[in-house]
Amino acid sequence: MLTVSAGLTAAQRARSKHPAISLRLSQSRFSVPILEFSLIASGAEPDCPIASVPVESGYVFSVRNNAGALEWRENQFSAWTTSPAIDTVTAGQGFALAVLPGAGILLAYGNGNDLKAALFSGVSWSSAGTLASEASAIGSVAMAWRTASDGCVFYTLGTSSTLKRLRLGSPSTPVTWSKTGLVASITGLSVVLRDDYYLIVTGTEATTNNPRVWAVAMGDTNRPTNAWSGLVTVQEADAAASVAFSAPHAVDVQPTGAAEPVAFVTFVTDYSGNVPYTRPFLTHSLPGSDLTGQWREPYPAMLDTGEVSGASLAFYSDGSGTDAVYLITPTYDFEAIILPPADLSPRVLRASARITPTTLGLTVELEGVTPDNLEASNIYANLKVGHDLALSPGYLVAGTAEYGVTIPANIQRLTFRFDPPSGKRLLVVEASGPWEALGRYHQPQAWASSAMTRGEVFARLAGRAGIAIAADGALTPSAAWSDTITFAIGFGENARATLLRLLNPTPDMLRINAAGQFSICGLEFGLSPPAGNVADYGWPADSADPNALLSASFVASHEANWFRVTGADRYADAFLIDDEGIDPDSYPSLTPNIHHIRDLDIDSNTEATEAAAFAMRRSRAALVVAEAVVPANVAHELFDVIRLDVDPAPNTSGSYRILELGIDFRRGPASEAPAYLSTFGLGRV
Amino acid sequence: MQIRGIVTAFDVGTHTATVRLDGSAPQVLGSVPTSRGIASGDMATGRRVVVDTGDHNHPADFVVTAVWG
Repeated sequence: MLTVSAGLTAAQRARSKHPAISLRLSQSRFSVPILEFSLIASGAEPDCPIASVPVESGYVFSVRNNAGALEWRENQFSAWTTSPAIDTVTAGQGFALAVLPGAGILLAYGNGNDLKAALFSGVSWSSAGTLASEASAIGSVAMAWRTASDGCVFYTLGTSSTLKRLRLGSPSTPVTWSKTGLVASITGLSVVLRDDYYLIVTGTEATTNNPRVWAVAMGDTNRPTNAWSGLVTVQEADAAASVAFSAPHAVDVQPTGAAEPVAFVTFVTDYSGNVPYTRPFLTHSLPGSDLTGQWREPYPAMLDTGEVSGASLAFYSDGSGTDAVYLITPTYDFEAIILPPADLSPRVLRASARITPTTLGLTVELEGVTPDNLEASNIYANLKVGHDLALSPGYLVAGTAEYGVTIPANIQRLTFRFDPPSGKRLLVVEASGPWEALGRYHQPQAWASSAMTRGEVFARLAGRAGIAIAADGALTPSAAWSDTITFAIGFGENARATLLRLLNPTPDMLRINAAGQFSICGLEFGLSPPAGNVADYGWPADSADPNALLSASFVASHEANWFRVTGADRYADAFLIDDEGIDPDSYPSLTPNIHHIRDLDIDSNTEATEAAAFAMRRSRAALVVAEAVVPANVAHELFDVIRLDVDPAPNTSGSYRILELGIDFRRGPASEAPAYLSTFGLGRV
Repeated sequence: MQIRGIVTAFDVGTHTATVRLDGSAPQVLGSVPTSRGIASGDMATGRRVVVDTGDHNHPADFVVTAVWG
């Protein structure tokens, strides 16, 4: 149960109350910014490697390696300065740009066996200095600076597995990373600086030569200084797949008001099989984790297939609402402006939300949506299928709106209605949640694992669809998420069906947090709910705890009573009649009603017996046996426990768990009689 | 679910195949159990196969049921 202020609690219990509805529209998908790139400049320039940094709103400084000539331009609209070039190096040799706070823009680059650097002051380039000298040619280069005296350059020796870090700002010598033995070759590097350094590395894996895009962290603040994390796969292929990855570019994107940054990465995929292509792909990390967490399934960036040398990324924010990401190649310059959220609250005529453990539906009707005012208020640009829509029901508390639970959804359908006789315009927005997004996602390539836990496999598959998952802070997940499982998935399999299959052998359920992401909730079925987590609804209302009850209904229906789990070389049954927790007066029908689960990871009698018991608990707990309608209670979340003190049938008074949560708002009178109600679909505790 | 694919390798000892499923150009699936009704010699690299996934996402439930080509 959400903790809300005493004022809001009192307001929603009062006999006379004033609803408040917040409806916010954001240019994001489950809290990840949506980058809608528009072409803002282009020119007939050769395709070649490029690096870019933002200098001010709308302007990006770039350097390119044009067949060995390091050339630069001040912004997308200025000409490349080709003579004199900054330096002359080997064609394709690596380089990196970074803003050096308070000093200018630093270029680090390989020149033969030397790692060099030159500073652009805003007017001209300094003479290049040598940072390090190696016995073989410098390959890829990446660089980031925290302050003008605290930074790090990373570079490789050719395309070998040797990656070195060179801390700058104080005398330092290059040190080789600890992952050389895991890697066969490195074709590209990029780095993002947060608390630690996060590198994106393209190359091939040792022994297998499988192509990979990896993320890896090097400690600077949170992790031990200079310690390397494990390699996390961002994208993968097998050695015989005729695929190669290269030219990664990474940038952190944190628009104004966003709680945390999300890293976006481009890299080039070169496929040389039948119907070959070479083009940059775009992916991103997920909120709630750093770059060593899950990654979205990469998708082609908005470029044609001629950009074989990669596309650099830059992010600019003035911190007060002007936010944009730039996708830069020598030929094309794209800009994705990230608009501030739009407030649709005053336009809401009706809102209706329904949430269950595996579905989310939200429908709102908006008035006053003429083309003119949509354009003027920036709403129209934000009102698109795929954008986030968050409904927060609340009440006026001493004249100020306070809100309770947030129902995060993602727009899936827009209907603009026009009524000619009255001239009225109405917009109906339908939105859904992560389970529906998973239903639209199909696995683009086969994948298998035999060394990951159920939780890691679940997080990986959900992450590819852009959905993050975390343990709930209050309802601790069961140990089933820590089981190592053997897993395989073929091309085209549906993510929703696959994840439900992974969820079924656990006694846990998922709910959706305010950011639109999954939260694993361990429901200790049969145990008393935590103190303070119970709201009491009765008739007549209890004067000491006056939560009104508008209607209550109790339903009896067929349900499964025999649960069979087939594991490796064994099976186990659980029968409802054997459950000591079952009230002898309420045994379900003795007609066998079997539910079957097959899980070959279950390879002991104990596990099989436990899994059958889990299946029975889940089935019992997931069945909706009652429904209650009350004045809107904005503090309730899925899986809260409430008490119903009414007895239209024997034994109906008692505690129930919220399995379906509905909110209905009608402003009235234009949208029929006003209403503001919560509807609870209730299951057993 | 039945998916078609191409044999990229076959382990005679375990009678399992490595298969590149149609549509999954970048990634093969390894250690796929193969019907004992299919002779090892028939599982030549490049031959076409049908894989029944069993719909349980467990590799031991996958099976190559037919080979041709």
